[in-house]
Amino acid sequence: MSYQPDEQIKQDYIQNKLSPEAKTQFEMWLLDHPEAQQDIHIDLMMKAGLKEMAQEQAQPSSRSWWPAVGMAAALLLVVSVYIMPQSGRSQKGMIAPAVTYVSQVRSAEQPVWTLKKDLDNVLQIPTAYLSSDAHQVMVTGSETMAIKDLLPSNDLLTVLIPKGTLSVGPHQLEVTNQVNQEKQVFEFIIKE
Amino acid sequence: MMILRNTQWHLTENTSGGAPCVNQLSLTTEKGMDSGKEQSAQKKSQLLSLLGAVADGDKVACQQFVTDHYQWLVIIVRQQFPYSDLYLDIVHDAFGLTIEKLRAGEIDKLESIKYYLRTAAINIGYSYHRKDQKFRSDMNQDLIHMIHDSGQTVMDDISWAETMAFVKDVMSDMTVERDQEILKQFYLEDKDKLTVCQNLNITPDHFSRVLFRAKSRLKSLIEKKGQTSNVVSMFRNVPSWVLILTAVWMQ
Repeated sequence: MSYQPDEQIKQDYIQNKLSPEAKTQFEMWLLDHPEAQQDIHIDLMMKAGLKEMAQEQAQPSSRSWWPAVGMAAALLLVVSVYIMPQSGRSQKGMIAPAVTYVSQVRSAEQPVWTLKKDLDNVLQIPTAYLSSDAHQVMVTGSETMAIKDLLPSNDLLTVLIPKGTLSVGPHQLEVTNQVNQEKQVFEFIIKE
Repeated sequence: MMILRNTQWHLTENTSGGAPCVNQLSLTTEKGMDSGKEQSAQKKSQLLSLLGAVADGDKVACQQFVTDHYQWLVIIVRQQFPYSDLYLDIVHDAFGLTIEKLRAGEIDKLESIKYYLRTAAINIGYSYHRKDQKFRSDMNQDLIHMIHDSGQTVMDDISWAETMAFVKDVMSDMTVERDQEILKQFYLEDKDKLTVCQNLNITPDHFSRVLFRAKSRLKSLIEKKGQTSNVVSMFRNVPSWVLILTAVWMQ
């Protein structure tokens, strides 16, 4: 018997509520039904447009925080530059940290990242597209350190681990979305 | 007496326009079903022939392949990445990758090309959002132009910003606050129809009418803009009964 999606399936597709299998089946059906494509396309335009409108409306209130957050971050940077011990790489009060992009890969076996103990390490962790959810980042191992209410910028969480903070050995980085409690766990090793 | 087996009744639309009604019943018998199988086989044969030509580097065949699948793939990408203005880049790259693989003879099951194309688009989309963007720079420039030209025959793109502006116009034209709320709850908050009706104390008919009017308004704004996008051309080619049936479908 040929597949014929009902109203509920079409609504669920627009709202992204179909299972992967049902979604694939519906999309394959859609290829042969241009009139349904047209209708769904209008629905998707409405959805995207309304989302953008909602984001624009939400911006003024949230934006008012950003100058304060930005100034605080700048102040923190300036202070940390002065109080941190100067490494061989630093020149005229500036620091060139080691930047590590920590993300999960599709293969079953996740990589183990390596960080140098004598470097300031900046970790960047990708978040969901356009997410504005607060996150908690926690490092566990011989030491434990954590930061809460971290907001992504350009779909990235960025944290700095100052040099010498963690001792040599294996550590775990746990990133938790504080809204939906989704967790990502990464392994890394601090080496001399 | 004639015995009809495997009989199916189909409703057909009133082609003279106006309100939808059942003005004809057509009968499909086993002969009709055989005909359906023949059509399916013929379609498959045509697709394989087209893909063969694409693999041989036939530019016209490439354009036809893109034309046949462009609108469909745009929808898949927009559904998967609904708030991204990169959807056309993703679609272009997916076609580019698929055509390159076809030319290189690296796709075994040609009859499954639609699955390949869909998967390619979704993976490329995720790649974009992980910021790898490795497909963007790997594309052969000639292929990019060719795909773009083919796409243009189907769709002179409505820009992302214009789409957003049209939706804003639709919303601002809605004077009844509750009607705006219907759209927000359905499209933005992903609430199902029954929940929206209960929340706002409206009937399913009212829900369907509001959605129908909003979508019709969006369509007319796009047409008014005078662009020949896929959305415009598709609506020009589609009788009004499709939109009317949409309202029925939403009930």
